[in-house]
Amino acid sequence: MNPRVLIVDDSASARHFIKNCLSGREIELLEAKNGEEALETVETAKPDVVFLDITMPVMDGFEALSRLKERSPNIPVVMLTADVQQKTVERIKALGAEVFLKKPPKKDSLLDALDQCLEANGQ
Amino acid sequence: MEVHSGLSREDVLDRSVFNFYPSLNRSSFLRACKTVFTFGNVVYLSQKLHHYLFPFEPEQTKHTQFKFMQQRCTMSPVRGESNTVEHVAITVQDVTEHVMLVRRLRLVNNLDELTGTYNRRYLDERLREEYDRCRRYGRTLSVCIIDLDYFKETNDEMGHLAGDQALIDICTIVESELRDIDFLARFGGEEFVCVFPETSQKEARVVAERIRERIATNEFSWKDRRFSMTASLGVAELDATMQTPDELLEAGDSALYVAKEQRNRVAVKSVSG
Amino acid sequence: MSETLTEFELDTLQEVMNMAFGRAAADLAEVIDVFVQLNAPDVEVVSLDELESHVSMKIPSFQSARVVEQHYRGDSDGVALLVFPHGAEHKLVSLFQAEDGEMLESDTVLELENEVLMEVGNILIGACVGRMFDLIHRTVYYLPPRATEGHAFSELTNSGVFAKDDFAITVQTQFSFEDREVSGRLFLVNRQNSLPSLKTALAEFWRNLE
Repeated sequence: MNPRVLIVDDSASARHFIKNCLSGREIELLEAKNGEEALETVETAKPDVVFLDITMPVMDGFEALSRLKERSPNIPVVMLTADVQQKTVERIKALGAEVFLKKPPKKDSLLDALDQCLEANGQ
Repeated sequence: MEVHSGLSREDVLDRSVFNFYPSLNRSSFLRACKTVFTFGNVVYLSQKLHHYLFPFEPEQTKHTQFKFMQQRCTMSPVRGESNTVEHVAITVQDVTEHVMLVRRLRLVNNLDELTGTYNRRYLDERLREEYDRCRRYGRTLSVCIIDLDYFKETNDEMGHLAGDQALIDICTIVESELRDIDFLARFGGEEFVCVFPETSQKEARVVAERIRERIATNEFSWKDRRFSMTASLGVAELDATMQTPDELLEAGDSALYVAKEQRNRVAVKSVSG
Repeated sequence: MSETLTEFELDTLQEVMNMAFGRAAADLAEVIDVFVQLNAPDVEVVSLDELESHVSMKIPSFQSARVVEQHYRGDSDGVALLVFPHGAEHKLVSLFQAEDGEMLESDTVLELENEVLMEVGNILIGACVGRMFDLIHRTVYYLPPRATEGHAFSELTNSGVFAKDDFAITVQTQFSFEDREVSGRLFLVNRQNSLPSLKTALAEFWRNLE
């Protein structure tokens, strides 16, 4: 079975872009537009990797990350943010994200991050 | 730059600017530099906020008011081939004369020519400021209106120049009784207003009494003429019913009216009445 | 509005703003040397004749609010208006006043506050707007800022520089410097002739990253 990748971002164009970048790989792509939806999808669909944006309405990326790691600590998370202040990066690492990518992400960085996470999971 | 700094191009090339101007090593300058390098926009360092960047002597030494040349500076990005910002260009404009002119203009606008005290325009502005501050922070404020007794008669008897000198002398007396935060303004021909921030009418009354006494016992003179004068003073304190600063002045005025009944008196506007 | 942005373009614009502001926060923190937080911006596009009512809806007492106005030219011609709420100037003066702290006798507090607002405004506009244009590979340069009040909005429409069908990108954000919370709203009013350029830039944005 192909690995499942969940893309969480409130921007449709951003989700669209990430999907396009990853579409060359043999994976199943899922989408969620905020933290709440993301948690629901994780429960039901059990993805293998999650790409998570920080700035989102309703539940922001930090909260989503911490809830996600609480319930499913083994799912690797790639965090996307434009704010690369020391404090922000530290917070992301502390909450357990495996990878953090600077926004706007390049196609290559997205693919590298995906590979890194799949390897960690033994795929 | 060479003229004002006394440094030649060879002296400074490839050396750190802080070697020559250690005072630049402060957060406002560093922040400005970082802004230009990071965002590539122009930073304007106004004289008002920063006063000067480079401690140069003022151009004309008659400007003794300022220790250093007052400067308005602009910091602009200089981009390299890859369009990244590689250098910062600092333009320094000598605005010392301009600042002096503005100051002088302001003073002329705000001062009474004869006595050198503040004028009515300044009083209105400052009183409004003090009033607002009192309302905002719950403080108090008092005024004392001074009106000279029989001034017209003195002028007629002794001459206008004697009268003018008396006004100047009275201002000197009054100002010597004021603290730094108080100020005196000429309201009309022979009428003056003292403003006492952070002062109750009780405290203001004490000062008013002293002023009254000193004026009454002062020996005024002009050339070979000797004469004496007295003043009536009305004191009032800001209270909760007053909606505008003018109402405070009006209260002082009604107290003055009472004082005028006897002359050479201080009357205080009672808070309730 | 004769021509407008498609949903996809608007969505991309919002994303670009998110990124611009995220990046700007990090840059500002380094430049001003305090911890900066910029809330995720809320982006809307309105036509110029709707702008005043739009602004008054968001900021009811905007006529008397302090505004820093800065014009820009280049790939886009426009003006940035940064609206500060009452009291912002007090909080910012302490952060930005000259170290020698000496206030010249002839300068009023109002003037100092205006200077601080302009300096901060210049940096903020440079950071947020600059990053936005950067991301879509457009270059603009700025004219000196000026401190004014809310009536600047009506002056825009009356000045003849802007036409009725010019458009405004309004970006609402809140920024806080360390413990000082200062909220502000940024409005970017652009000439209609920059719309095609903007549309192209937005369409290309994602493509350029592949």
